Amino acid sequence: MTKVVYAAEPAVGWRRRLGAIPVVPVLVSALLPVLVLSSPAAAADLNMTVRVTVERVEGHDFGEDPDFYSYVEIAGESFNNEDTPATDPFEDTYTIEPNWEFSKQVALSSGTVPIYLEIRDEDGFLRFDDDIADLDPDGDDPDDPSDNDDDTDQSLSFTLDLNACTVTGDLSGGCGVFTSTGTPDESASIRLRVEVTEPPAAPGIRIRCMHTPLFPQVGDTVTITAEFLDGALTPARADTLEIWVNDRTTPDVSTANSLTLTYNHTITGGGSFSYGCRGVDDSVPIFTGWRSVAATAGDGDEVPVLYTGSTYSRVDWVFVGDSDDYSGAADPQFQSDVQQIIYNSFYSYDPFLVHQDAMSFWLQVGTGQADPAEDGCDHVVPDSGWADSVMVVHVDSFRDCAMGGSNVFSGENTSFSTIRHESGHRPFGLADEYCCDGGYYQQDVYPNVYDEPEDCADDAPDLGRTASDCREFEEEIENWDDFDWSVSDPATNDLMVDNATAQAADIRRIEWYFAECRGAKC
Amino acid sequence: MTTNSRRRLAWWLLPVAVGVALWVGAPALSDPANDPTIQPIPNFAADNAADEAKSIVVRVSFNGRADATVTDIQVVDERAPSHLGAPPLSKVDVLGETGDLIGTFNDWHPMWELGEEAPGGGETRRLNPHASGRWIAPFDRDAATIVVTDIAAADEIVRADLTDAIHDFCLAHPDDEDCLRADLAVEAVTVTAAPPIGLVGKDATITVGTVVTNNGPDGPADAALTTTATAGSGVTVTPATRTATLPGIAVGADVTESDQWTVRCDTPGQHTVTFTATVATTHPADVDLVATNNTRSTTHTIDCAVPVTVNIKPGGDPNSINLGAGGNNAPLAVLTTTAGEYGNPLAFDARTVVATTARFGNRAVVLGGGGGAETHNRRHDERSYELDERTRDADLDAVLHFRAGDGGFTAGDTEGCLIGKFTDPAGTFTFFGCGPVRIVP
Repeated sequence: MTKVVYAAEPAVGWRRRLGAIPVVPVLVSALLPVLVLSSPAAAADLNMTVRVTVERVEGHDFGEDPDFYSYVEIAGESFNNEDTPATDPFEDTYTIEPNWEFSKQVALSSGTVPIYLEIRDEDGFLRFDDDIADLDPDGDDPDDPSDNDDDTDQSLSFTLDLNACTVTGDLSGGCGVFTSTGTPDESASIRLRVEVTEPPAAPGIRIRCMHTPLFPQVGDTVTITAEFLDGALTPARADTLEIWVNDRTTPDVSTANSLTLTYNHTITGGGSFSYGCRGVDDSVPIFTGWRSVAATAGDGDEVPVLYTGSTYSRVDWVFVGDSDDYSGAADPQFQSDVQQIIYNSFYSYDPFLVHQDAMSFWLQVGTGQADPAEDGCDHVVPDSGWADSVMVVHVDSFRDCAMGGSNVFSGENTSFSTIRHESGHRPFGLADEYCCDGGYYQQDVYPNVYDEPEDCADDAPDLGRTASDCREFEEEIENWDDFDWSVSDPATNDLMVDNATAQAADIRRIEWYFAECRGAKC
Repeated sequence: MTTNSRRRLAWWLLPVAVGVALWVGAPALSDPANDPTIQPIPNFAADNAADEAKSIVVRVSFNGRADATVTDIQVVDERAPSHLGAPPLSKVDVLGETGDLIGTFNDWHPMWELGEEAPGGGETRRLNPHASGRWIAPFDRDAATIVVTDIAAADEIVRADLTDAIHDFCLAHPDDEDCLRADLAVEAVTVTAAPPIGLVGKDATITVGTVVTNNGPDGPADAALTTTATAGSGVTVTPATRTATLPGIAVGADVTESDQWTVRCDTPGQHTVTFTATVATTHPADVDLVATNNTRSTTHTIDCAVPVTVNIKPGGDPNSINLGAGGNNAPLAVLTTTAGEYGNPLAFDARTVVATTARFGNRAVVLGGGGGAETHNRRHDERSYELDERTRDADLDAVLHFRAGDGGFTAGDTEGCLIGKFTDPAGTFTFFGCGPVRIVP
């Protein structure tokens, strides 16, 4: 029998509210939401984020210390975090608490979603060498003489009802935390979380939300501002705007029919605070996702100022203040400048904003030193090698550059579009698309620049283009190679040409990168 | 409207009002949950505390594309970056001890510098011939080597050993979950087998047993046992060092390693050989923080005897030894020989034999301290027969007599041996020699 522990958090919100109200007096009015649900426009437009989080795995009876990883399918999309940074720290360990998150956006109109989960023990580089840990209690029991030893079902399969936020199958109950233990041998006990949450963006509507000061201290009052936007990121009125702070039971402030909403929150203790902004328009809700903000420096070299979750499932940017201009994370001017960078470079750029729940931003506690390109581009920064991208922020004007041998680049505090372009390189790995003297290479996965025109032509249909959209240029890289390069993204108004709009090949790779992160692979 | 009417109206309107209020205030069904109530609040402190990831940072300095120098290798207490978006410019392979591939990823090339042509201007790529850079690989306790390939040039540009960095990290962080603390100890070093004497110019085999244990707290641990043999003057020992691998010593387990050593006596007398065994962990991520019990020694003394030529029952052949009354005064001659005569390495003057120390009999018996004593307690110096039983050379030999029955002979014995002391100006030493016999019960 499957052991189920129901969610520690509140179950589905509106059901709880309904449950608290006498049924008879509201019988008629209770039908109204059903009518709204039946609205094709609202239901069809809404994508929900389905998230499966593997919180804990305890192995049993493996011959050697296991190297666990997860294989998850959500609505047919598979995630496999074998041999990734997310699994490396947990090798050779029987009991792990990895918090591997796997998420996918699924249309609410699809009603139910099949979810499949395996925990595997990596035995080698070949898939068929790996063992599957038995998670399903309805299986083989070697101690039971009546058992027919036909335990072929070692995985967990269940169906998630998006509306009710309940699961049935190998697990059953309301969304939240579940546990299950398989039968010996080579089995595991697993604790996982299943959630259905509102997306950070929906077709035609966006929400942007920031706080100031960026790195407040205990006792400070923080101003949180929510902005509701349309798909072009221009201000739009939301039917409802809400700001939630720390408390998940109710918003701290809400308003109707507004463009923005502001809330002041005083940090009274705890070393951090958390908030999120939610907007509802035409019955379509979007939520930034909870972010946590440090209010003390802590032990690390970096402080999270917008932390959305595990670094293995997020894209993490670290900002370092140039010692010529800033004194470190506590410097108000540094906080203000970085806030502007986040706001303008990331939250005002739709390919990034729609993934705001998958991005985290950090400040280096100390300072670094940006080294101009003409001096050799040898930036000096405290160790933040773990981050997806590190930016040394400076005020003076000089030739900025990205070090070849690291994830570090320098940028002026107001060069917002340049910062976006550099983020295209690091972390997303996009090559330059302008001619000439750019950084050219063909990525193995979802390239935006091609070694051969045939590759560009072959890929063009996948980008909604034809082979005739491919343009070529020749670039001789001194002491390196001579290459003819092909590109199908346009020659202007492009992220990797003139720091402008992310075009199809750019978007595809950015989307792939975020998807990989959402699969606990970054 | 009367009060009652108002009350009735209110009663009918109440459920509708509550319902409408509920519908307005609560999310519509298309809003399947009041989402912030469900989504967990990210907890960076807890996430950070749970993340015990480490990485190996290899720093390099380039002086041209094919000239890379590793300047530093460190294990750091933070995770490696994902490398998910890194371009195929350099390829990094992390290999295990046997060359097995532990991990691989692409990364940027340190020489690739992307910089502005002018402040605030367009970007250009430059190949910086004097670049510095780093590669950061996820930590693996079994990592041994990192190999970096310049993909475009298909050249290996870096190959570096990672084991020292891993070991240094574990020495500094022995409680890290990827490090193993094993207090290995040499519990005993013992000579378990050795001949009672050595013969000058001859090899002797000595067996040394070493007991190693793991006092924990972690295990099993692979160990390397290195034993050195140090010979005193007058003796040589080979080999000088032996190394053994002791795999997987569990906590509390005793593992015995037994080795044989060849000792050759160069000069007569009591000489020493000291065997010193030292145990150490072999895996770079294993550390032994208690060094005081890692080494132990034993010193073995070997009596190096001078080989001599013995003619049993000189002048006759076969050398019948009667174990009965007929053998109560069996003669034998210790021959005076020159170096090389009869294959003896040293010259020997039989007149130096101390007769009272001489013992004759079965080899094992006399080497064990038994055997028959010289029946007259004196040496008879005379020109005795050489081994051809016909020749008597000019030098004086020592003729001794023994009661054969005291020699511990058995019927099948075919040799009789003599051991004893002799004295020369350099001191008193042992001599030893054997000759053929035919035992007559």
